[in-house]
Amino acid sequence: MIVFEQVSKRFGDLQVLDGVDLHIPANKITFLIGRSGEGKSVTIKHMIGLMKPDSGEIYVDGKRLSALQSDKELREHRKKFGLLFQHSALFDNMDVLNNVCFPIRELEPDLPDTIVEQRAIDCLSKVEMNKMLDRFPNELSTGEKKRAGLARALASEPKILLYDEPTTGIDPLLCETVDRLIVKINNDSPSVSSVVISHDIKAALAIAEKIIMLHHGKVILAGDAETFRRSDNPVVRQFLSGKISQASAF
Amino acid sequence: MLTRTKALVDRFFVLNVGYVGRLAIYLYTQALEFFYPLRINRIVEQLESVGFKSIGIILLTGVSVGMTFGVQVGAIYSIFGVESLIGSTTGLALAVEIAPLTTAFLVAGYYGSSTTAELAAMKISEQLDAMEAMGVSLLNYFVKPTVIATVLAMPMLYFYFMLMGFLGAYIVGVEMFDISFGNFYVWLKRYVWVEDIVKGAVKSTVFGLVVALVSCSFGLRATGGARGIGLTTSNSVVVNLLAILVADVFITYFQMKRAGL
Repeated sequence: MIVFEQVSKRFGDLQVLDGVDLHIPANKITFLIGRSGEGKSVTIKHMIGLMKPDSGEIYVDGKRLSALQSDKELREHRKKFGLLFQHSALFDNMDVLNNVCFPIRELEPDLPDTIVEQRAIDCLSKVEMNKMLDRFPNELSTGEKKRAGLARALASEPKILLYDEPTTGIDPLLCETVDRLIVKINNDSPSVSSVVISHDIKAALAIAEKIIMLHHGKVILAGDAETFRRSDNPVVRQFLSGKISQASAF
Repeated sequence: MLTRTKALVDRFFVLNVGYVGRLAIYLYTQALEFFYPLRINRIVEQLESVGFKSIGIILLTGVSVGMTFGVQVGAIYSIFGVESLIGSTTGLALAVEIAPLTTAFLVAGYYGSSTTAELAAMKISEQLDAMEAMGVSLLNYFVKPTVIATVLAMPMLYFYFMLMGFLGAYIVGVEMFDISFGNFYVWLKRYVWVEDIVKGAVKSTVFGLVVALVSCSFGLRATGGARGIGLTTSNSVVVNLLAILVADVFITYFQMKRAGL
């Protein structure tokens, strides 16, 4: 469904993506893992078209992204995605309900307000946030913000849900709640493909149907949890054990 | 419906008017792209921020500037016994220069800076990325409503400032220099023409465009954390003030040239 062919991206002297080849299957939970600064977030920004590669091609649903020339075509492309940001990125001038209504109103401006609000409430119910409709983002805890952000990502009924480091900086219990939500949403909406950017290997092994590992701008391993458990690649082993070796400490 | 109408208009021009027709289509398409889709609710929101919320500050500043200018001019005129000219001098200065410039500075200071700070904070907290990821055009959502609202509001704010300035000058004239309302009004009317007010309104409109474009462009390009927001906002205010002054020089030059001076 999403295919990267020899995608490279450089920021000044820093080569973030270096000939990345990857394939993200449809209707599955795919984890893109790697250490911080390995280009995971840059990869999803390329998928949405928020960034353009220096070289290489990206295909989404068979469509070549470099062929999308106008802003209008890019905006149409982006409508396929729902994105949960690392820090939720809720609009702080709107309450929870209006945050979730926002993408629906944008995509379907002719829809009556009552239907928009009902759809937003349905999305908020899926993440158990339907009791906090009139709260503003500054009145929410980190976990509540994540859940509201997820409801907003779901509101536009996307084909592809992107999670940018959904469990970074939150406590282990909340991590588990978020992981369960990812699985629940994937089960509730089987036509939705989930792409999770993370460095949480435990979660990846537990819930991912495919794991892709990025290291120094390249894909070093792709496969299911079992492939990762059996891998003898030293970088993968190190990531699985969570211990720093002398050679790759810095 | 709109696409169909546009296609019909395009076809009419291409078939009937040739090269000029194609040029007309280009200009028409550009205008259509700017004005469609127009987010009326966003324009109203921005009009409220730039217009209605500034009524108090414009009243206070307008009256103060009018009074101060009236006192300064009146002190000199009283030496020559022509205090009755306070209305005309203050009125003309307010109409062509002081009101458009001060209104623009005020709007750049409170509305321009808050627009930049808001956009910068949204950019840094990834709220703008979230909007773009939803397929929302930042140009349509932020820039166009801000430009349209500011360009519409500025001439009105200018006019309001000018009236408040007249009021300030009148209070000074009556209270300090003993001139009557009739005397003040006659001289004001004799020297301040509609053409002067149009000149001031044109300046205000251009200044509004400058403030909107500078404020939005700084906010949308903000980087860094809290320090980045502070720096971007102060840079935006400085560039706004300088751009207004430079624009003022050019507009004044062209207006003077047009008047044959």
